[in-house]
Amino acid sequence: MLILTRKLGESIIIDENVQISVIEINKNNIKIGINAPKELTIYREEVFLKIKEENAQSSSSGIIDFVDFQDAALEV
Amino acid sequence: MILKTRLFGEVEVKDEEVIHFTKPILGFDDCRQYLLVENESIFPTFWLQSINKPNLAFPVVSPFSVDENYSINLQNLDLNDINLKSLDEALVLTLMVVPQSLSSIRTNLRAPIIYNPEKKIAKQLILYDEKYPIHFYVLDDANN
Repeated sequence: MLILTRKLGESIIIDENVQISVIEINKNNIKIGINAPKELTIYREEVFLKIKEENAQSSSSGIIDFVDFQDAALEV
Repeated sequence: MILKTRLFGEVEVKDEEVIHFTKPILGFDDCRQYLLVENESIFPTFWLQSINKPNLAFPVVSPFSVDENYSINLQNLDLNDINLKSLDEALVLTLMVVPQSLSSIRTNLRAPIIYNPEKKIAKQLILYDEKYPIHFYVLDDANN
C-alpha cells in the first residue's frame, strides 16, 4: 500500500482527475473530501463489503414451495 | 442453447431473452449474462438465473411490492448506462435472501438492480441514500 502523509487542507491527486482532500481532523476521525468524475462510484468500504456479502447470501437461497411460504407468512 | 441449472433443471436460453449486466452483481464480476425466470408455483417467483454459471441464481422481487414507500432517484448518468431516458421505462428489482429460517427472508433495498427490459441491459447500483436497509425483512411487520 502506498502511504502518504498529508496535513489539513492538503490533497492527493489520482490519475489526474480524482482529488482527495483532508477537510477536517478530529481525535478519532477525519473528514475526507473527494472530487471525482461522476461516473466513478464511491462507497464507504463497509457498505460495499456488506452488499457483496448480501449478494453472496442471495445466491445461496433455496426455493420454497409456495404453500409453505404462505403458511410461514401467516405465522408471523 | 440448453442450460442445466441447479434449481430449475434444463432451461432453454433464447438469445433475445438474455439480459446483459453493464455493471456486475457485486462479487460476481465474471457473470454478466442472466435470464429472468418466472415460476408462480414457487417462492420466490422471480429469479435471475446466471448463464455463465448454471449453478448460480438470485431470487429477486419488486421492491415496490414489499415497501410501498420505496422510491429511488437516479442520476442521468445511471440511466444512460443502461440506455434509459427515464426511470419509468425501467424495471427495478432487488435481490432476496431466502435462508432455511423463513422468518429471515429479506431483500436488499439498498442495492437495487435497474433493468431496461427493452434493451435487455441491467446493472446493480448502490444507493447513496442510507434510509433503505440492506436487510429488509419481508415477513417482519416492524418494517411496514
